[in-house]
Amino acid sequence: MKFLLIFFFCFIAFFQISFGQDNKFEFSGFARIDHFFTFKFYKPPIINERNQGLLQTNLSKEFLGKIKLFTAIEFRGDLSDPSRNRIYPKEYYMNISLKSLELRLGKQKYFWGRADGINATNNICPVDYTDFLDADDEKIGQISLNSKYYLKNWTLNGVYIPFFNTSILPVKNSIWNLPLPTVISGPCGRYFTPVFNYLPDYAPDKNLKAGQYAFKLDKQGSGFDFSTSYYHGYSHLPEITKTFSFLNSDSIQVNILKNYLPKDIAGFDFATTIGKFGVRGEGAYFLTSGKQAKLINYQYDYLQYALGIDYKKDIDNNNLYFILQWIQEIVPSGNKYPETSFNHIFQKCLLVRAEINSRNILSFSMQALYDVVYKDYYLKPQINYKIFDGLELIGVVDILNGDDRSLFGIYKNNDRVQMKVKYSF
Amino acid sequence: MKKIAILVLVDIMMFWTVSYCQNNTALDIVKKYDEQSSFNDETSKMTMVLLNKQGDKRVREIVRYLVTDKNDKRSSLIKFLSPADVKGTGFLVIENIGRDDDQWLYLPAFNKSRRISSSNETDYFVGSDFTYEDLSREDLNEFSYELLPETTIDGHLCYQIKALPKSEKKIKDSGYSKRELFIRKDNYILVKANFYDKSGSLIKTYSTENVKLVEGTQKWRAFTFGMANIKNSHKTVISITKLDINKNLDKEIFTLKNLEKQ
Repeated sequence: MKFLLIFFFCFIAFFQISFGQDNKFEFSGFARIDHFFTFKFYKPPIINERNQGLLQTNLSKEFLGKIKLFTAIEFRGDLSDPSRNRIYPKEYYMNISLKSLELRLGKQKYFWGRADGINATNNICPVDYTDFLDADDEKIGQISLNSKYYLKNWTLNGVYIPFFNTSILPVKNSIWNLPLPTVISGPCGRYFTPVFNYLPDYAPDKNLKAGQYAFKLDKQGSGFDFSTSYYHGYSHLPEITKTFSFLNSDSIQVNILKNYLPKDIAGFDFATTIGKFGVRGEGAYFLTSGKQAKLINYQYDYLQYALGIDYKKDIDNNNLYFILQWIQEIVPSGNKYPETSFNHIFQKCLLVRAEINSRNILSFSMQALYDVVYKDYYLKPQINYKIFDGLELIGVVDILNGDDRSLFGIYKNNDRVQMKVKYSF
Repeated sequence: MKKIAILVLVDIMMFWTVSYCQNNTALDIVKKYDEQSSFNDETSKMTMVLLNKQGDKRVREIVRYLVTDKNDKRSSLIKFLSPADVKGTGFLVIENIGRDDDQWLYLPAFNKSRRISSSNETDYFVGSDFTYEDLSREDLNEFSYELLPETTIDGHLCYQIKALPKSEKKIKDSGYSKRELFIRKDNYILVKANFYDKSGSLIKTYSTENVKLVEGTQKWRAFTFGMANIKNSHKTVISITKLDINKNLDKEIFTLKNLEKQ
């Protein structure tokens, strides 16, 4: 932690000094007001709403034509949940561009993968899942060294991340935090009062011993883009396991353990077009390892892939856009992971998206995610309207439904409306 | 009877010869216009203003790089400089012969490039009133040209040429059944055009202002040009604020690395 703070302040100091030497810098960002509310009212301390103001400022400075400094800082305040208030450096890095080589050092985000929405090869950054459905905007930057070597249409990308960071799970008073049971059934049809005991996380050390690395070889052009990648590190989302021990005749201790398991991931993705259709695919083979994985019965290697097509049509400056994508998980050993495990959510899902966009000013879209096995689904109609250049209104409805044992079914009482006003500068 | 037949035949031959000469001249004129507007490479910075019928304005600032290789294939890179919500958005197009062009779109919000299917000629360019057909270079073999009476536009004498798609493919792919081109006699620059849809109705007009020589070249360009859509009363006006032609652009510009560079 100390190392990170020292690095951050050195970076800011360097920025200030170089600013004094040269006035060419770029300032941009956006301001946004969010109002979310659920249709069902949860009693306190559960927080049903978000009434949040957000300001993100991006500052970048380039000098000598080769070096760029960049920082993005978020200022956030939430009237409904003051624990979300923060001043947070989202990214800060130095980028050096040479003719064929590019180096970037600092806190940065990574966006690997060519499929739409679900990217099995994108494993470098943890994610803030405080809001389970708002995850797209909440990738957490990693302090890392990112290097890219360009040779004609080929790019070789190497990444080193010295420290391991976990994804952030929903907090206790969130509508996305599943309530713990107040009664547990035991042997012989008896019921027990649970006493929950949170064990220390099974996670890699917070030091250089837990360094992770990744490589990607990418080619674009001649009608076909593809990449192959490899990641060595750890799962940012835990597998949560429970063990039980009797305290007395009426109560039972439930020991909850979060396991951040080591992972090696080999990935592949591609994109091409056939006439008016775009075809995209992405797959990753997860090799689990280590005693802990075996101990908790998560030792089976698995493949996750997505395959999709998209189509666009322009009718008098109204763009129609369709995406159809299949997402699946295959465990070659024949075993099956629970769908409610964070790492195994999309086991047999269909994603459908339709959008109509008028002159990039007004757009309406509908996205649907349907689990074929558990028959639960997530619908997301959305409207975007640019009142004038830079100012945008966004309205979203989140609808979840399904069996109580399925992922979306568990959250079916969390149907809600999101309203946002965003000004970009 | 024999004399009448010979006279009729001669009349037909004369008519055919005269009209052939006129059409040949029309093609010559269009060739000169094409030569005038061609380049090895071009860099332009421009402001695009979109106006709807209520008079509401949307303004885009764009930089565009174009290069033509020795096989006459074009590559282009377009980047949005403003407004803030689209800044950094880019398109890269690599033209191919015998197969679809390679096209990529970069959206800063997603932080990665995305291969997209080739746009139809009739698709509109980023919400403007220009289609990709309007903005691309014309293949002269795909149209027939006929010279119409000369006319004066903004005080300049202009050739008036009717252009019709010739091949079956072009008739099907083009958004227009007919175009009327007004090309200045003194410098062969296109100063006005009328576009007719498949039913023969006038749907759009193209107009220009501020026609001048590009510094350091013998190329004329309209530094302000616009397209007015008659059907929906929407208009797009593009003003070029900076223009360089044939400056030996680095081919490295037309790469995904550069498309994604902020």
